[in-house]
Amino acid sequence: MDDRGLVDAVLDGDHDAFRLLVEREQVAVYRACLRIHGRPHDAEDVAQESFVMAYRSIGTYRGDGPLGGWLMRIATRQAFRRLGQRRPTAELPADLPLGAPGSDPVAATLAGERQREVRLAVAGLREPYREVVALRFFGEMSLEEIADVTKRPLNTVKTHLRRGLEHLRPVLGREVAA
Amino acid sequence: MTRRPFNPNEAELPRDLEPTVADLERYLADSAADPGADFADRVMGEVTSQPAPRRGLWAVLAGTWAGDRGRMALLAATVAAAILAVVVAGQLPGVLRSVGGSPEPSVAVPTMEPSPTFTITPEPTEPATESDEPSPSPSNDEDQTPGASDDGDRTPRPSASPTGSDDHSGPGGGGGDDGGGNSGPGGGGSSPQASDDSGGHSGSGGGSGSSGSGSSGSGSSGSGSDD
Repeated sequence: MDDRGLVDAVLDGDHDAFRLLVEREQVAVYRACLRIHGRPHDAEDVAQESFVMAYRSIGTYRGDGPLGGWLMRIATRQAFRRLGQRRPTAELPADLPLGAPGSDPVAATLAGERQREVRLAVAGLREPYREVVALRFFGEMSLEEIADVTKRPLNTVKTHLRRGLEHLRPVLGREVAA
Repeated sequence: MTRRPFNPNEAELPRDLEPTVADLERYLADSAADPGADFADRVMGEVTSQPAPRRGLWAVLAGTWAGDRGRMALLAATVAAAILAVVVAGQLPGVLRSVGGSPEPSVAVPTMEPSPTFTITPEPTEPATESDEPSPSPSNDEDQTPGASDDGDRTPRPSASPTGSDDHSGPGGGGGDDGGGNSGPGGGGSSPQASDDSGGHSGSGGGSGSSGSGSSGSGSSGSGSDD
């Protein structure tokens, strides 16, 4: 079933159609939320909220770009919004690494600290740079998809991405550059 | 889901940004986790409790008011509408009066009048305590009536007061009677009326001034003019 047919089915009250959408996009949406939030539990909550928001407003989907991209945009926005509402004290302890380090606890702690720096750096970007960087890297969307979903010219999206990365350069890539 | 590694060529990035991209890519590789097995069930459990999605404009409105921010916007809009309604309701009588025609202004003027009389009354009350002592000499009362006429210079402002004084004629009459006895203090208070009916009950207006109610003084003046 293509995106348009899926949306029409949902609008006709077919919950199974929306389940198809959830099962198809849940991993991508969850990972994007996890990369923004850094905590699996928070990421699941935000991803669930994003799916519910998408369900409520699925009638606004006009077919500009893939439905997954439209959903990803909702999810990243919601994730950054929730991140902004999180109390600062919650960020004090270093988050555990997201991967499965398994072996060296010191390396795992350092990796967790590094991941936290990446998240904070991206979250600290201004719009529209943050959105483009998040959709491209955290949402793993192509630049063409981002251009379709955000209704911006492709060259504008490229420019936003480049400027976003330039803003991240003082924080990220230091080890490699050194 | 397959990872889509970033190719710097797709965005035509300069080479000095490659370390930054590499750092981001490393972060993505470390954060490739999956949601819980029951995630889809939990989402669908939440979705089934939601109202059916809508199409077109209704969908836009529903999307706008959804979420915490939407609820706050709705609350702010409601409060703003309520304030606007109160303001409009407050102005409504004035608008109706202005639209209503000539009979209304005569009623409207007295309502405007008390504010000037209230501003004047504090002045007479202060000399009232002093003038209680010389009150035995009625000549002072007459001396004060010119003073009142000085105040009468202000009368052009409350010149509409005679119309208002008609409203206060009831209590003002009482003040006038008292004023016969305590003519002294009233000099200031009666001043607005003294100009109108100085010949009639200038002293009486003063009496009302001693009582501290300027309005009563004005009332007496009205009755004086009737006399």
